[in-house]
Amino acid sequence: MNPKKLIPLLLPVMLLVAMPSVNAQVTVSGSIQSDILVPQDDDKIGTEHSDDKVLTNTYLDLNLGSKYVDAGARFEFLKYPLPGYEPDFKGWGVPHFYVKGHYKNVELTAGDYYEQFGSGFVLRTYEERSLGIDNALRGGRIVYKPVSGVTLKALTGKQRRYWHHNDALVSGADIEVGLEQFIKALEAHDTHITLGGSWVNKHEKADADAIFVDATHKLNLPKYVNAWDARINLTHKGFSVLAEYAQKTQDPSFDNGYHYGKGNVAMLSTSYSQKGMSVLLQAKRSEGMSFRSRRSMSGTSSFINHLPAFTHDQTYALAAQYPYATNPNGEWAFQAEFGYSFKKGTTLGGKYGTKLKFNLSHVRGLDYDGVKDPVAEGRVIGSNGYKSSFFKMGETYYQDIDVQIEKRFTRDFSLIFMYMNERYNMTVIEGHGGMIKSNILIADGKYKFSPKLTLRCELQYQFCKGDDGDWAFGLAELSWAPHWMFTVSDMWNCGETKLHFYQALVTYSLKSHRIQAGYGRTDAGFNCSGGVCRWVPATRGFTLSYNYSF
Amino acid sequence: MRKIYLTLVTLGLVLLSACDEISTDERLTYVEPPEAGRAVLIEDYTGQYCVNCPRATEEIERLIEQYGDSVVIAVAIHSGPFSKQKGEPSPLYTEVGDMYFNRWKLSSQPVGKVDRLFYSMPFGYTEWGGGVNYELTDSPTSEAPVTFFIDGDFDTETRTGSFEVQTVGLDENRISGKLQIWLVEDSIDSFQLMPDGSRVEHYNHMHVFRASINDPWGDDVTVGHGEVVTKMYTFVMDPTWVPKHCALVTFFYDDQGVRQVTKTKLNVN
Repeated sequence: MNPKKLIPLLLPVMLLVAMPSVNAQVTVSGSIQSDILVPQDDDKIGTEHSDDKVLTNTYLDLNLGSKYVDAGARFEFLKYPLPGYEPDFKGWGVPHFYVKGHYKNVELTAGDYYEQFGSGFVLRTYEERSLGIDNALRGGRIVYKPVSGVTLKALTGKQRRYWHHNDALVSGADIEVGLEQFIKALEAHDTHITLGGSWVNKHEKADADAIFVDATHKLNLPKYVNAWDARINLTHKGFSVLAEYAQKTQDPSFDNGYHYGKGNVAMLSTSYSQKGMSVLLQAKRSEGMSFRSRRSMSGTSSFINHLPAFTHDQTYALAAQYPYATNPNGEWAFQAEFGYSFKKGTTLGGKYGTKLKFNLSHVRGLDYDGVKDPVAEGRVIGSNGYKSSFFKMGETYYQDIDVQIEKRFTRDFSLIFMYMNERYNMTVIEGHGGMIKSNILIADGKYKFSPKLTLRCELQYQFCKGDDGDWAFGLAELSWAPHWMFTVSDMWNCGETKLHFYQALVTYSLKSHRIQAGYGRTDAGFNCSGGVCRWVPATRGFTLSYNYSF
Repeated sequence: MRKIYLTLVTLGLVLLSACDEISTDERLTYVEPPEAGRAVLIEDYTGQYCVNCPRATEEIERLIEQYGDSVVIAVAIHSGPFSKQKGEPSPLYTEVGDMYFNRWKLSSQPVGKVDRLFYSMPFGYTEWGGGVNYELTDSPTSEAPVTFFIDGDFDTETRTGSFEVQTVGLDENRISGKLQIWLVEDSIDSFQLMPDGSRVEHYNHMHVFRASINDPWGDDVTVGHGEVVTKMYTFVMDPTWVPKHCALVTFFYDDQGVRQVTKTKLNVN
């Protein structure tokens, strides 16, 4: 190990030692997360052979806070990473460290930081360990609140890509104004209006990439790419509406086939909630909004922005079999969610009440006058790209209609029943396979034997047309409070492959420590984005994970 | 509030100064056609289950059309995850090809390497044209330090090939590297998944990597200016491969990448 790599980890400690006057008020927080796999070869499910006996993704976060200065660092050990991450993910060191000063209404950060402007259409840096994403910016950021209700942000930095930083400089500014601070009539009527505006600039050398259209002509690439975002959010009691629009200037990139068309995204989101009921309705249209800090990049790294998915985040195994995120090249997405609690003592509520949840997600491509995928079907390189009428839609990419009913029958027994109808355009999302049509039934029952002993069982069945056909899933989870949990499950393809993906887990929790040991198989799958696909391989082996936060 | 206005005005000025709109007639920059003093090797790491890989094949065809087949020499190496389905390799998959794929730490496909530039850096297929041009013009290695003379025959009865490779030094300094010889086959009729998700059962696969004739990482060669290093090789061809569609791709590489490459059709008797 190279000890020099650990020096940034000492940054928070050194900083606070240098400021003895504030030591008295220092707070220490952090976390440890370690996921370990001892892989085994399994030809039946097609695991990839690993020469390493033990694979692990391990993170140690350390944050120190005081009245005026905070500091933190993260140690990552990914030298022998779990399967399925991009090769450059591999490494170890302290890639994330920062110092943050805050005095009155100003906050100044130097080092690595995460930030999001609005919904993230033009800027969102974040960490998502399960996907191997950490696109933090390294540089400086200032947050200034000149008067109550106004927040100004300005930042600049280079974006992390695994163990390096991309050359492009990303800069931006954001303003949010709460009008109720200036118009007292709004506040008097419990109405809040927030106006927001953002701008992001990417400066990337024009000659960093040589993209030839023929033997003697290469593209003159823009050095600057600008993106801006405007939004208004109105809330009145339980009602809320958000309208947001963002646009991006010419940004020829691998994702869009190196065309010079502009990108845009528009979103309208409304919600209403009162005691026992909630409604969410939203629509989004995006076109050419893939925005990376390196124009030639493919895969999952280097995204400056984020287009939120309009799909329900499914947690049940079979409901999550065919997930859909968002297509950065363009889509129309709609989502409706409805939640209702039938009160106790009513016909549908029964003795303990009943909860109902409904979700509809519908995502379609854009219409290009019959052309399915202009990047794939014609060379758009150097052109203005493809045009699509705003309201015209193309084929269905994804659809999910699900209903969930949660009902407690006795003091000790409750049941969740879920039905899901799903359409998954495997050809668009993964590149092959046609439209996968599924109907999924899920029953999730929980029985409390005693205040300490609870058994939860899941039974799931997926009627599936296409791909590998039908699937069944069963799970039993015994919780022995306050420390132990035992889980066994099996996901069985009863369609084509007849393969079993079994798993057994033991979990022990003590205060903020959690350790889990297990053995099992996980299924493989394709993960495609922007015309290039990433393979997440099948695994089999012993697993061990440890989490601790302090 | 004055501070806010000042900040906004400053931001507006910065924004305007950073605009970079490129009109239609300014998008292409003319580049002097390179004088090809050497050939360039494109290793196309591809797969029959890779729907986007035919796009990379089109890019290779375009480059060959522009530069000529003696300047751009492509080898389609069926490897990686898109050459397997549920653990079963596709017909054109080779273990040696997969070893290269893993050696270069590749993950997504299609992906390639142009003259093994910048060591492990993978090239997306839209960057191959830039890589070829760089190798022929700007690269410090745009002049070939060696050239090859290849002579030999293939006996169809015994399906045995015997040939001699002469590596001739052109560089002023003595140069050391690896001599690598691959067998490739054109016009193979096999299936391929296409960008629209369909499966074409009779896709015409070109310049497919079949085997490495010598060690997969090549043989050591050191040669001075005007010197000739001669090596003899023999191989026995798989019965399913068509000799008249086969060729030898011979290249010399060192720490700076592939320095010279040539493609020679088999002399079938």
